[in-house]
Amino acid sequence: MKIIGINRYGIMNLIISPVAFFLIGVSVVAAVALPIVRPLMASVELVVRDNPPQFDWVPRDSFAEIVEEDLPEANDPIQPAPLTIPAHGERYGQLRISSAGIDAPMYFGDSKRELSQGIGTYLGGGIPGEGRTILVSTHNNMDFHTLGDVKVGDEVLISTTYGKYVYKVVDIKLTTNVDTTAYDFDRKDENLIMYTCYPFDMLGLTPQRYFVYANYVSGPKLDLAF
Amino acid sequence: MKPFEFLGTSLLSFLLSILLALTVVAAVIQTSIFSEAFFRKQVDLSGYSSYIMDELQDSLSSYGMVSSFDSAFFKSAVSSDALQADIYREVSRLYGHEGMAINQDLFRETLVAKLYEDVEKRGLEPTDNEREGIEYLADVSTEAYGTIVTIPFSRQISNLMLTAKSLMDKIFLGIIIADMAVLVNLLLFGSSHRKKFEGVANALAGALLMIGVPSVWVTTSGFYKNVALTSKALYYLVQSIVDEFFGLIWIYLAIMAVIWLLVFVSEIAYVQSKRKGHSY
Repeated sequence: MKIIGINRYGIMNLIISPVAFFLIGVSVVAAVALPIVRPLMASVELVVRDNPPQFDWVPRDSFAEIVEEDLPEANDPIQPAPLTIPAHGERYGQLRISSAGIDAPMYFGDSKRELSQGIGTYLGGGIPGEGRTILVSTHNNMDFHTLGDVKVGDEVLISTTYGKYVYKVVDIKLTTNVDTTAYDFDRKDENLIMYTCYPFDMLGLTPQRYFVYANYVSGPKLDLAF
Repeated sequence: MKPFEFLGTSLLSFLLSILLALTVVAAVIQTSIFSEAFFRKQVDLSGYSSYIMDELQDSLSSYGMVSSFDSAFFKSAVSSDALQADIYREVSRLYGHEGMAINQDLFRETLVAKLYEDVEKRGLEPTDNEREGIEYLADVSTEAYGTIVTIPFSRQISNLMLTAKSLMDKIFLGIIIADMAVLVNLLLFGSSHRKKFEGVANALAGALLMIGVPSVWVTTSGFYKNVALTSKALYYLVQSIVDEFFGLIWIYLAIMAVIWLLVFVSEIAYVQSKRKGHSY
């Protein structure tokens, strides 16, 4: 049988030869390029995930699901099992200072998103019950607008998804945004630092920061030694 | 056909298929990655400017929240035309036009004017301390503008781009010359008309497979959609570039397929003309 004068053998040749060229060509390129491509592929794997990135992700509000009255208040340790460490962006608590009329949600993380919704918790510090320095902040024209009304001796109440905590204000300080002595993350006792920009009604940006320091009084301790 | 002639024709055909595959890749790279017009088109198609605007307004609004300026003010403070112009300048800078830089001075100047205009509208009289605060706000906002609008690693890419483009031009020319040389040799060396036709047809088909199969794998696997970019603007820009890149590959492959078809049609015409010229 002939098609345009090509017999069966010729037809097979027109199919087999290109496939053979493809296989040999890819093998040659792979053999030559593999030493260069392999480390590149390893780098590519670092930046390619299993799913596309989510840009419209909304963080969970865990605190909305709990009943505050049922939260433990005593200083007994909390075992890891019932405790869920909050995820970045998650609302995990509520901070109240009755003397200043402050009653604001607390979020884990202090990026623009958290600070625009309430009080952000610095990720490099601790969370209530962890026995470390807890650093929280929000905007001076939002929930910490009346932070200046807080006095030494006032109580700060924090309810989290796992327990209720009480802190007592011990110091107030006005300093600048580059003053690294304003906070100490090496302290071994639990303490709370709240700060915001100062003056509170400032027009424009200010380099001054208003710090309120409080020491731990009561609340369940997290048993994270596992 | 003598074994030597068969081997020679096959080798030339294989070499031509590799060179044709490289020609397609080089042509696509020249008309995409190394083309400023292509990049600008992807900036428009991907909505890059509007995502950058969102990111900018989000960032500036957070400064506004601590400065007694509301988010509505900052949404109106940034001009989309000025931003678009700066993004195009940044693209030009990527392709080696060093004089094209983002106009941060203009942004700051415009912002300061609008800030004082807003203060006046609210009937406020800023103190000296507050004037300093407003200037500080403008400085920080301008810095944020520069950071957000600048394409990441643009300076490094720009340095690489000039060298790579110059090298690519030479490589592309070399590949075209090699294509011509091998094709001429194949047409001269082929022992018969039939072998010449098969050599060229196999080369074209081989090149189609060499480029087509990996392209199908990349586009169907879609692994490039999972690249972990945190900037929404950059993510959609990269997706648009990759999609258009493979779109161009398919166009060139279609052209090659048409050429392959033309080779077949010309072979049919040749065989028919031979049959008319010979009695069977």
